[in-house]
Amino acid sequence: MDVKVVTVEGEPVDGAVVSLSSVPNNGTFPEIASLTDEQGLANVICEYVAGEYVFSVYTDQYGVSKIPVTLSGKEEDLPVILIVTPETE
Amino acid sequence: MSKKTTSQAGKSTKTVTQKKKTEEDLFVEVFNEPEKTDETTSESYCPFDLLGDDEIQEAIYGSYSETELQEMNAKGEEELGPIEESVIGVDERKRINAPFKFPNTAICSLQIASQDGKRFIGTGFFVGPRVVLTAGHCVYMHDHGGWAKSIEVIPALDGTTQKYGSAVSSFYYSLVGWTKNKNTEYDFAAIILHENAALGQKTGWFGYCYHTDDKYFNNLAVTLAGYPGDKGGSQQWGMSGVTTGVTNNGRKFAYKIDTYGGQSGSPVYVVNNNSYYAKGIHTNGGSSYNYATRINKNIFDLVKGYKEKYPAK
Repeated sequence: MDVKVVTVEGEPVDGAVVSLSSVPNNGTFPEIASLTDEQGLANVICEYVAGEYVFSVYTDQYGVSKIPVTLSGKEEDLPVILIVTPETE
Repeated sequence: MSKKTTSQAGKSTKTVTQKKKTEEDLFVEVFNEPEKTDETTSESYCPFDLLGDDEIQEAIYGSYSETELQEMNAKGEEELGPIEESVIGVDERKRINAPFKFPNTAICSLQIASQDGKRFIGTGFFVGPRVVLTAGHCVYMHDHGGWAKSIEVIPALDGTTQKYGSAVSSFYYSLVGWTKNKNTEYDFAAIILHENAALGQKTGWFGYCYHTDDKYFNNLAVTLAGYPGDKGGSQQWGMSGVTTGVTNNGRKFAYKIDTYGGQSGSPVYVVNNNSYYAKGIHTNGGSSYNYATRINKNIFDLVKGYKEKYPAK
């Protein structure tokens, strides 16, 4: 699953560490973390299904942010936008 | 920051050869002769575990059909109940400050570069001077070009401090049950470091052993430590707890120890007479249980073979 980490201003975050803390349907997931590139893009290794995910995003600027995302199952070709703010922890 | 890197280049084609070799290595003889140790190493025979014969079936994993593998997986998950998050209840992980005391020295951050240019963080641990165990999905990523392009192994990474330096490798072993069938029951790998980068000699290494009785894992006290991504992936965190049982086919075991992405490949280990023995390799998170690939006789034999084949110079 492709993700893009940005600030509230829409600036991509390079070097953010993205991992999953929850996936739909009582699934399990490999616990490998992903690093974003200069465009804020990373690929999180998991099965893509509809439902609620919770991502954990660590950035040097904001620390850790836990970001819940509900996917319909139709966005597979688009990166999931993860917005980090100081308040999202 | 002190950083010392030893590169091992030009192995991308050789890894394919090594994958085939793994199948042949399934029949390596088991023996429990302890390795030579010194003050910085802990080693690896486990006499209390070498009981009985852990089935030749371990050697035929490649012959299961895809359907059979899926059925085995499904049964295993049903048995262990619903699962959703890898921090179970209150987060009880503890930071291992300055992890420069054994066995934490032998636990490594893995900085992984895939063939398609993506970057990942995982964990591994030394079981010999040049042999680092980890999860299969840290070295072979099906959606990212297969075998990792390179992996930098950084023992006891602590923030920006790399007390033992690091080594880059592109030489791995994994099980065909993982690389071909993507079956998490076979999610296991070994990273081989170059002979000039035998960092395990500085850090020490874990022992490892197997136990044939599934019930052994019903309430076993274990510790798990690695490099969780929610802490930035550069700090070592760990927690102790008990195992809750094995999956139906017995290839994985479960526990309620809190983990996070980045900790794949962490050792799940026991302490016996001041020695540290890995019982499994952490691979998956879930809500009620987290999971490790069990070190069974097959994996024990493979690792023993790697240690013999790739000693320190």
